[in-house]
Order: sequence, then structure tokens, then C-alpha cells
Amino acid sequence: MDPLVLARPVEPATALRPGVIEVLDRNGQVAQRLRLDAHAPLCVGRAYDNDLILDDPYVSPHHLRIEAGPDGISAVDLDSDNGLYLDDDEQRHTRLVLAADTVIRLGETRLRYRPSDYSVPPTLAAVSQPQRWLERPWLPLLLVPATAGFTALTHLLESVERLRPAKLLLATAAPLLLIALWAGLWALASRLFGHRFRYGVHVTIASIALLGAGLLELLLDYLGFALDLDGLELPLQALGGTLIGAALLYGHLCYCSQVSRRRLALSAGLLASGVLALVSLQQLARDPFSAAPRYHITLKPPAFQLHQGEPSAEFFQRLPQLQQRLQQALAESAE
Amino acid sequence: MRTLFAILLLLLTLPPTAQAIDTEALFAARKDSVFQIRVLERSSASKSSIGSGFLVSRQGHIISNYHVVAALVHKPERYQLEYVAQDGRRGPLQLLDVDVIHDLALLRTDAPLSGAALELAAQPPLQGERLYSLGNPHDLGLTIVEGIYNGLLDKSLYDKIHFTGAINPGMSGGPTLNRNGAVVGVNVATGGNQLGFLVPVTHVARLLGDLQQPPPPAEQLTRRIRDQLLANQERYMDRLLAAPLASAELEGYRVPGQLGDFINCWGDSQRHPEQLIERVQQSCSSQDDIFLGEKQNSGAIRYRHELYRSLELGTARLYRYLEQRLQNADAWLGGERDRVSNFACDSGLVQGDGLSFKAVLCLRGYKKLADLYDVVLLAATLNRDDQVLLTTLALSGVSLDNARRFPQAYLESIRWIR
Repeated sequence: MDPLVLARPVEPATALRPGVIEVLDRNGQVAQRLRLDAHAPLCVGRAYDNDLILDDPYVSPHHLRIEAGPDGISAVDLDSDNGLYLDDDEQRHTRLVLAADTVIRLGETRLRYRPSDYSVPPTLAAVSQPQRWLERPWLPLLLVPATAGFTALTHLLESVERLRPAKLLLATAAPLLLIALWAGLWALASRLFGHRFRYGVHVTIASIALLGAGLLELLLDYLGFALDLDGLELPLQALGGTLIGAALLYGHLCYCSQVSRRRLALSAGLLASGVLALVSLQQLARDPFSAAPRYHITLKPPAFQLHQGEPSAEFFQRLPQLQQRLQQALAESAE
Repeated sequence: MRTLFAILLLLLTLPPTAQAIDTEALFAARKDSVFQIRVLERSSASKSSIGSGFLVSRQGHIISNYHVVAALVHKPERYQLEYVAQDGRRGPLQLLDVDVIHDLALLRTDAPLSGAALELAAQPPLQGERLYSLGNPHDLGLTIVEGIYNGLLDKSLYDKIHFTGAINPGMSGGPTLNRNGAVVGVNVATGGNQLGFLVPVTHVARLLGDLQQPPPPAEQLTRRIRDQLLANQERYMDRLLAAPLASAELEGYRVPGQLGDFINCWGDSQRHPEQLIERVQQSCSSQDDIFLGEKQNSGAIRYRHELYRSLELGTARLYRYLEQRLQNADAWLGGERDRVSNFACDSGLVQGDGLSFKAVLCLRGYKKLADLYDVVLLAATLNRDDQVLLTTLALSGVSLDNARRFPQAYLESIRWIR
């Protein structure tokens, strides 16, 4: 052991490692980090002899210098054309002392200072991340074939012709292509705002929504028939569709934006309701007169008939009610 | 001997000569009593439709067809009536009354007319009797057409004379005379090639007998039409429902068949080689709907049974296909927004006689003819996994009570008999 080494005075950590300068993008996300050197100032500008080179046309070739002084870390304007400012301030400074989290502005670039002892939030427990299960890589591998299978089944159910594989394949390809494109667009948005593509997650979300909507429709269709509740099917379908739409948007948005979850949920809900309103408006805008009857009806195999139905005499007793509805409609149209 | 020969010769030459004189004399004697009837658009004073009519009284009463003047009944503010006599004189006409069931209209003019009132024949003609029809075909001028009386149509709800002679558009409302010059019928329709139809003159007599003094205002005509339609549908519905509905068998089902001699039925079956489904169909329709106006008829009874059988299709696909057929069924009844309301519909599971159905019932009203309705019933059977009977019934212009009675009897008569 060498006692001399032990006796050597230890420099304070702040002096040795003064901290980090962060270059922020438009959304306040960190685009680049640079560690400050205790002994040499950090030069910032457009010129290539700087320590931090900024491609901002409003920044001077030698714009400012960040250095350690007796009063801490400070930024010094090097007589630049456009000056040095605090984040949202209009007051030009020649020198600014940087405390933790101080954001300075030069040209259109923002720099943030954080000292080395800056305290970071506690580590999140792995299980508490709610979206984690969505990110499992095997999910899209399971869900995409499931969606394809469901689409093929629906197509098969819709036709009365002999099965032709090419036709079936074509019918199945369309929704898969749609998922691929849709997820691609969201992945692009993720890359722009969240810095990761996450294509698989977006495929998972889109597949779940598509499959969910299809299954919901099927379920309501069969329930409507089984329990003789045709009238309830369309409103429930609209409600379920809106909820699924909102969940779909929320899921995608969560992977694209750092905004709080509550605000994301709110905007997803609003967007989905907006779509619902638009669809309803389209219904209202159609020609109010129709020479053909308009109705919604379900017909399923006899095995699914749970409600035994009403005697025909009672069924035809509904005519006076229909007539009352007509009278109302006629009175309204007369007004 | 010479005298006898002369008489024989005379007898031989007599019929054609007599006939020639007949037609000429008839035309000369009656031409001033027959007019062209024009419906004019008020603002442009141009012809909207033309027909014929004939004088039946010294007070200027003229008989024509309802369908000639129908536009005026629906839009009195937009149209007016005018007669044009054989000598070119013209004048305004007033619409007094209509018989919408038999397609007749009673008109009147105040202007003195040169023709004499035509006499109405008291006796119907004999089968094979020669008749002479007058009118103005295709606006070509007054024409006389010779034809033969072939009795009344038996497959019709309404009396109609079968006249073998060329009646053409524009002759509607003109008289058909016997050889004495008395009116036996009113030209009303053509079935093409020498096939003409006339309204028997007894209905003209009834319309004249109902003549009210003073004449009812125009708005009451709609009321008259509504009353006539209501009474008429009551008559034929009672007739149809007096006994159990006639039935036919369709692949194991008993279904309503030809319900009356005024209803015609056709059948066919289809199987597309690419499809796994087979269809057997029977459709029936009443033959003489009542003309109310352009694109609006009343009194129609139409129904169709379609049996769909799966050929290796499977139950789920069969029922899915039928669901779509039921959702997009053709209800046959057209309609214009200013005449009828929208349909109000209700659907449900129905217990029939040993058979369950999924059924839709739709009703709509007439905007100007109160208490008259169109009704549509659609039903699909739910008794077998491999076949479905889809039946469609449409009635136009019936009372609310008959809109319930007839479809109910119709649905209840459907049975599974195998």
C-alpha cells in the first residue's frame, strides 16, 4: 500500500465531472448529449472547430462557450449575431449561470444543462408497465394469421359458390395489406416522435382491433337472433365500434407520444366519437324518402334460436304500433 | 224464277253493303258527340296528355277515363282540361266526378255543343256482335274502328269487356257503340294486336246516377277516390278471406297458391353450376291493379315463395345467404315521395302452425288518401338445416284491418307437411 496515494486530496465530483449539456429537439426530447470537461470549456457554434457543432443556420460559427467558473457552470456569449437567451425569455444575455435544468436558447436550438448529481426518478418495476404484454414479439405472429383466418371464414360464409383458393386468398389479402399499411404509418409516427419504429407492436394493436370488431359484430348478430333483439344490434354495434376505435387510437398513440396517458385517452376518445358523429351525420344526410322498406334483420340456423318467438296473432298486433309511428312521421313531414 | 234470282242476288250483296252503310252512317251520326280531351299545363298551355270522351247529356256531361284526367286530380293547380270538337271548336271542361275503380271520369262543359247526347245501351251485346269504337288514336284525328264483342273477362276483379279490335293510345275514354249507335262500353286499355278492353256501360250509368247537384268541389274528389278504394279493397279482401286460402305444395311446404282467378302464378327453378345452392320459385300477382296516377297503382296483391336448398353448402352458409336475401328483398311496390310515406318496419321470431319464422312486417300510408296502406310481409322458415322457404307478400291500397288480416292468414297458412 502506498500511503501517499491515500493522503492525496479528493477533488469534489462536481468539479471533476461538471455535468452534461443536452441538445433538445422541438418536442423537448433529447437529441444529443455531451459531457462537460472540468478543465476545458465547451465551444458551441456552426464552425467545425467547435466541441458541439450545431447545424442551425441562426447560430453563429462561434456562438458561445460553456465553462466552469467559481460560481459554477456558465454560458458566455461570444459576441454572436443572434445572441443568448433563457428558454422562453426575450432578454438577451452575455453570460448566464447554469443551474440544474436551465434551458438556454441560441438561434433555434435549445440546450439544457444537467449536473452529474442530477437525481433521476426511481426505476420502474418491470411488471408495472401496462403495455408490456403488447410488445411480445410472438403476438403479431399469432394475431396476423388469426385475422387472416377470420377474414377467410367470413368470406367463405358470405358466398354460396364452390370454394376457389385464389378468390379466398385475394379476399384475405386485402385486410392484411390494410393492417400492414396502417401499422407502417403508425410506426413512422413512432419513429418521428418516440424514436423507435415498433412496427410489431402497431401490427399487434391493429390486428386486435380488427379481430375484435369482427368478433363483436358476429357475437351481436348471433345474440340478436337468438334472443329476438334485432333492434338492439345496430346501436350496440355502433357503441362497441366506437369503443374499439378509441382503444385502437389510444394504443397507437401511447407508442408515439410522451404526453400523459390521460390526455392520450381523452384525445383517442374524442377522435373515435368524432368518427361516430360523422357516420351518424351521413345517415342523417341520406334521402329521407325511400320507396323500399328499410329494416335490419338477422337470420341464423335454427339451432341458435333460443327465444321461441311470439304467436303470429301477437306479431300482427304490432301493426297498430307501426301505424302510430307512421302517423307521427307523416305529421312531422307535414310540419 | 227471274224474280227469285234477283232476290237471291240482292240477299248475297246485301250484308257487305249494309255493313258499309252502317259504319259510314254511324260515324256521320255520332262524330259530333265524340271529342278529344286534352290535359293542358296551365303555365305553358301546352298538351300534357290527350284522350277521348263522349257526350252523354244535353247539359254538356262528357264521359272519359279517369287515367286521362288523373294529372288534374292530383295537381288541380297545375293542369286544366279542354275539349276539342270534330269541327275544331274547343272549350274548357270541369271535372265533376270519377270512378277510380273502373277508370271513368265525368266531365262537363257550359258551352253549347252541336252533337247529340249518345244513348247508353240497355242490354249487353251478344258474343260475336260487331261493335264500333270511336276515338282519337295518337292524335291523328277522329277514327272509327270495327271490332267484335268477346264477352266479359272472367279472370278479373273488375268488369271488363274483351273487344277484338285495334284500340290505340289516345282512344282512351272514347265510346264503343253497337250497330244502333248506343254506347256499350268505354275504351280503356289495349293488350296489343287487336286486343282491346272496354269498361261496360253499366258503370257509366251508375256514375251518372250518382251525379250530385251542385257538383262537389275539387278537393272532395280525393275523398271520393279514397272512399271508392276503401270500399273496393273491403270487397275483394272479404272475398279472398271468406274461405281458407287456396294452397299449393312447394317441396314439402304448404304455401298460399293461386288465391283467386284474378291472380296469375308462375314458377321456375334455378341452379347455377358454380353455386352450391338450388332455388325453386313460385310467384303470383293480381292482374288488374287500379291506376291512381303516374307511377302509382293500388289494389295490387303480389307474393312469391322461394325455396332455397343447400347442396353441400352447409347450414351456416345457407342461413347467411338467406339473411342477405331477407335483408335485401325486393318489395315490388314503387312509390313517389309526394304520395306515400316511408315504410315503418318491425321484425321478430314468429310461431306459426308447427313452424317458426323470422318475419318482417312493413307498413306505409298514403299522404292524401287517409286510412289506406301498403303492407309488406317477409318471412323465412326456421325448421330445417338444409333448406329455407323465403316468402314475400305485398299488398297495396288496403285498410289497416286488412293489412293485418290478410298477411296473418297468409303466414298462418304456411305449413311443413312432410
